[in-house]
Amino acid sequence: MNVYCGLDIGSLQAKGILLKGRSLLAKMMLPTGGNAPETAQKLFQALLAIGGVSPEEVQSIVATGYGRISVPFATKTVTEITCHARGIFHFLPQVQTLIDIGGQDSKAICLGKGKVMDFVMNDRCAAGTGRFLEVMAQNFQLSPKELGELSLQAKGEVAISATCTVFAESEVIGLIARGLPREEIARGIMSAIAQRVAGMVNRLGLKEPVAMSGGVAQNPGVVKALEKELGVNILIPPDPQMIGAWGAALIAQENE
Amino acid sequence: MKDGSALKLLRSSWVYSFLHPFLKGQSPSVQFAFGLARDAYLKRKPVAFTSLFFPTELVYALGMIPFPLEVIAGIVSSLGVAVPFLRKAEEEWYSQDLCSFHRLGIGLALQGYLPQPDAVLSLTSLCDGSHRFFYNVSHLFKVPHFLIEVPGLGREQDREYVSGQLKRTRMELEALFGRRIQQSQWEEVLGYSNSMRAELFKIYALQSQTPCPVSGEAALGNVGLIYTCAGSKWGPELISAWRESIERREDAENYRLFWLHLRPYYPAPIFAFLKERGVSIVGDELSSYIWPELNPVNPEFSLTTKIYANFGLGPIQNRINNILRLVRERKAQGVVIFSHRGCRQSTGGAFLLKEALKKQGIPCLILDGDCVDPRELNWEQMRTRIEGFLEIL
Amino acid sequence: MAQRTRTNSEMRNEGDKKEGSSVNKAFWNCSYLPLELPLAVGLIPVRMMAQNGPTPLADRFLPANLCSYARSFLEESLKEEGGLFLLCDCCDAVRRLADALEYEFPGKVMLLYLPRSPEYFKFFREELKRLQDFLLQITARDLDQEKILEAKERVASRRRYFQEIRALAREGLIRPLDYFQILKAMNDFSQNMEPAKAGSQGKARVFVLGNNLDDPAVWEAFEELDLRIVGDDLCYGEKQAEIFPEFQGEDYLEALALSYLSRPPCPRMRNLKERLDDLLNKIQARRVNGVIIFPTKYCDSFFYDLPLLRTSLKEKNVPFLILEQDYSQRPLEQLKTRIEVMLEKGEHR
Repeated sequence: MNVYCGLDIGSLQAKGILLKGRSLLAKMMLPTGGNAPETAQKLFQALLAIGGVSPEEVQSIVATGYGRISVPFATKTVTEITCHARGIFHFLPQVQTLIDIGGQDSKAICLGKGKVMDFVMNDRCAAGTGRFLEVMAQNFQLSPKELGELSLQAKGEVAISATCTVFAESEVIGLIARGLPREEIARGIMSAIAQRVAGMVNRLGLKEPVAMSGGVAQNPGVVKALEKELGVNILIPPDPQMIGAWGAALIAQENE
Repeated sequence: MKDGSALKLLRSSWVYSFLHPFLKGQSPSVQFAFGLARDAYLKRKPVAFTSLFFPTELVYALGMIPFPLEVIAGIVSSLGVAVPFLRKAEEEWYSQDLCSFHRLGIGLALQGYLPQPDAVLSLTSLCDGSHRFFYNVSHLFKVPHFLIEVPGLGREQDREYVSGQLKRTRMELEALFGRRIQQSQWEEVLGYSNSMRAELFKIYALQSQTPCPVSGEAALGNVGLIYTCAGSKWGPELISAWRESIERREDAENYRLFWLHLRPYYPAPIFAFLKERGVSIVGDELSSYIWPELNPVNPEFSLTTKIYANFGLGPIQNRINNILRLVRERKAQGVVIFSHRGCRQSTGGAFLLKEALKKQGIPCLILDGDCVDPRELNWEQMRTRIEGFLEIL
Repeated sequence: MAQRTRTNSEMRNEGDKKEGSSVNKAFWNCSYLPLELPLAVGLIPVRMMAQNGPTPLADRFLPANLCSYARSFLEESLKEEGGLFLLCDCCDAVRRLADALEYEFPGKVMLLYLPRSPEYFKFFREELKRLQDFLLQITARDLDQEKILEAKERVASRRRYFQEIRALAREGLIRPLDYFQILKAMNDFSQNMEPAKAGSQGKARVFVLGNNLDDPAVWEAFEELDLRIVGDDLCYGEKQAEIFPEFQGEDYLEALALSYLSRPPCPRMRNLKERLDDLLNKIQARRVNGVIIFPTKYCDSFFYDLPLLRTSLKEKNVPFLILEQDYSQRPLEQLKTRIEVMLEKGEHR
């Protein structure tokens, strides 16, 4: 058999990984929507279909993410903190600090040989999460990734002083209306999110090498701003959004 | 201020006469609380609103009733009825950023649920909020506010300063109520306090056992009791009854944690969740301040040493050293730093504490929450943090 | 278009160029700290001013829901190369700030216990002795009555200048931003006190109430609204400008202790009634059109008394506006609108 499944049910996206041994059989991502249990079931079925396996062949399922308690068929639930740590250890075993910026939360995890030594979370405030980027990008009529790419063209930066997402949006609208260079405003936005996240990382105590996971890790503007703020190079694993699901699948395998 | 039907009811002697027969068989703490409420609302004795750490031995020696407003706020919250009082305070422009214990106290005062005090007695320790809150209360009820300033370092000159203020307060209260504390009264009151203290040591010994049979939730709930009945004849009785109620533990103990500050007092799934995971809370900060036996020869100086047993005073290193000691004594694997929103003195030091404890190899979880305001509970977030921390352990 | 307002860091750094490195600086937080003492031992007392913007360095030590001034103080301190930190133990936030500073700058921090009324001046005298001993030990200098008197005169001369400016400001002859710059320079001995530029100013007479209002852009906004600042009750404003009488007797520490504690009380002091009465008298005497109440967010000392303050102002029919300063946001257009509404219609929040 040797088939294991990891399901990361986030507030916005549900991600799944199916492993046979150490080989990837299937991976999938779906919007979580309003019905997390139903989405979890759909995700699981989709993974089985892609992987060509039946449910009985799956030896263990680990569910993680905020929606982990909505997966009644899971063998075990583990927090996304531990799963991200395990996932990044698989791809980048040397990493000591992991920064995960998701759609609605962000966290920094201090690692020791793949194990979580300490962590800090921000899940109360949209500033410092993917949501902040989405809101800002909308004002430019760009995707968050395009906004990040735009910021890389800037020679200078317009500082965004508001830390609240709503007030920052007002500030950005005002700056655009004043005709300030769009790429410089974009760079200011990247710096704002980086400063917020850096504050969190500094509380944890930065140890290199540093990696990023989560959807925002695919935004080159944020990565560059964070590298500048922290004064380090940041490693990005392949498919950073799937790291939590990878970790969950590997934990399912190891626990068996 | 409103003097409505609630207060009329609380001030009706027939209510207490009606309830009295039901007290038989109730726990000593219920009986104590009943007696305190009755004597305060019916004004059988002069009433003093007190801050948590104000030495109630002085209050009992004067023949007064302590009515600890912050403890009362915790009790009201535990009954699940905090929100209307919090809202009332907020409507009257008490900012939501202020400590919810105090906002709830103000709300109770404004809604007419508190007895008329004769004096307000408070310390500047541990927080500024307490000083300002009690000033506001004294202004609302138009009674004098006696404030004892407690400098943080606890040097000889600081203790003399505090002791001098306690003496002066005692003399002013004696003049106000036309009575003088006799030496025999000091002996009795401090004797009760010392007996209560001896009982507390037995609780600490139980908390150090493996597995720990003492419920952390109960211990954190009894903090208010420890500071309210110190000096009363109920003090040793209540702690002794608590000790006798502690049963041998049957379930597994997977983790031992030491808890800092206080806990949410409103109904919340936290402790049931911790119990389910086999977590023992082997002690908490506020009920672990150990003071020397009180001596009736120089009572104010003795009470000053009790005040300075509070290791939250002074530089944070004081707190760190004592927490390290307690963690070792109670054989804890980690520390939960409960960050009560609005508590600047404690929450303000959470990161420094965590860093210091981490250096000593003690993992810490900073748990953001509120002790009294249920609107601030975000259980899923809290649960994720607790689970993540247990996974580290 | 108005010239871009210089940040406080820039202004302080310009001061640096004039006075030397931060090694000789004594950064302070509270106007109950007698500046005479650090001046007398040859240090440069500099009141640390809060800066707008995030505080990533301070975030490591202090949580977000702590006084923004304390957080900014720490942030700016962590950027300094040296210096001493002389703090009055005015509140919980400062105690935790002192802990964080001690962690990063061991042995360079002095936290003085500050009694809450002048009644306990003898205790404060002992604290000032402790401060003096600390300064003498750290600087390895000596001190005598003559140096103290010289320092007292230096402090008094700045305060005298500020008092002149204050009188002119009440006549509308000094612009709000200049009022602020001089107020700052009174408390920062690394800056010179520049002569104020005269200007006809002020349709509306306002009294500014709060603790620290360090953002120059806020004062610029006051200027843009053509306000006349007829008084302030800030941590380092008018209250700070009292000139003390000649020392009686030999014990200058006792004289300083009594003088500083006897000034009009601030929100953290004991005597709220005295403070309120004093404020209301000033406000009425200066015929204000409105009071701008602008405390720092999370200042417990201020916010617990805000309801009583508000009620007192309402009873006297004084229009007022309540705002919060948290040094992270700069919604100046909103601020200006709200002030305008207050002046047009009376009380508004």
